[in-house]
Amino acid sequence: MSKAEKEIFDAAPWHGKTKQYDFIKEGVIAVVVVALIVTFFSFLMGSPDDKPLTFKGWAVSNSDNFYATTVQELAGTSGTATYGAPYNKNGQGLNIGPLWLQRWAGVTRPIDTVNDFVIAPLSTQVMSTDIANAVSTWNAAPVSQQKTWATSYDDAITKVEGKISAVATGAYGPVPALAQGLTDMAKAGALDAALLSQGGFFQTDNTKQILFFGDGSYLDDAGTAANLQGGTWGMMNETGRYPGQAWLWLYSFWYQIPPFTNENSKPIGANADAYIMAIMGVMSLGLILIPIIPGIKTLPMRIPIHRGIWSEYYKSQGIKRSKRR
Amino acid sequence: MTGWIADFMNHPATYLKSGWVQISVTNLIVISLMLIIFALAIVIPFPHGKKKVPGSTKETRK
Repeated sequence: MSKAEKEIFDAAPWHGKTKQYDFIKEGVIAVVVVALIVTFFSFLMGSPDDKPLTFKGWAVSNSDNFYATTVQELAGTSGTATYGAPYNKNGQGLNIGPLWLQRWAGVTRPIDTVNDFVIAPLSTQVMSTDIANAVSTWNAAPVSQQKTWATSYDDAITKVEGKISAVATGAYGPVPALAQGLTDMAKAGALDAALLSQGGFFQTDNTKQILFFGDGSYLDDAGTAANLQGGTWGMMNETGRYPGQAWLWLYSFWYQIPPFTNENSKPIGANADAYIMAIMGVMSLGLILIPIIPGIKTLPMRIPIHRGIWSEYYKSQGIKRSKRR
Repeated sequence: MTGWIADFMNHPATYLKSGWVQISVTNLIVISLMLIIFALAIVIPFPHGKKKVPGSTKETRK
């Protein structure tokens, strides 16, 4: 049979044997079998059981980093404070050429790092006189003055590479007292609950905690230790020896190659998340449109895996496996 | 969850690294199993039911 004849044969309606088939029965059997396998392995292996990351853990294990991050939140220089949408308007956000997707989506989850992360949590406590005075002084000062105090202190901490005890004295206003107050609050374990509190009975919104964590080194270090960083295929991984999200290999792949590996290279590396999302969107569209893309839609003709699956049928129709050219 | 298997699973994983490719041994096992099952699904022939004996009325019983 010639190649053209084979293609006509492949495209023609099925002429082999047919029999009744119960898809519902097959679906039910598949669900039951998978449920049994999952239940068995759940009992056998449990689930990832890493110790939770808490502000207490952060402030106790690396109090200088927590303290310095608090100052950044007050100065408006932290990652969250400069992120842009959906939290604030302090950054342009990611873009793909003229498409400013992040900015266009707008500020849908406003976060003011000064009040949400520092002043409001401190105010939920019975404060010592020093801290209460520091909060009053801060609240009474004009925004420009607040900014000057916090930025000066933030710069001084950066100058000594985050070693708080080595910071030179200066006109920092109430900022050191506020930072120390929040550090003490975190060490006592009170900050976790204060940031989570939303007024409802069930607390399910962890946005503030995660953003605050993300501004310091605590979450980042934990991610590195567990091989969860994007640059090391972290999207595919799980903590411990549990299998991860292997199906995300292609999404994760792009983060391993230039220019996406260099977050300082513009325009692509600096906007890697947006570009990779677009690439995956185009590829997913390609997957959906396989039946109409020339060259791709005829791949089964050139890679006839189906002839292996229904080999007996093809054999009975006189079609042999084509030799490799 | 307790037990030695759960303890074993919660230890840091072993990773294989070659250049920019890095994969955990667990993920490698899972991916390999998926590929093996896929290959088997293609290679293993379909099960055949009872062949109808010519002239027999057994399968057309009402």
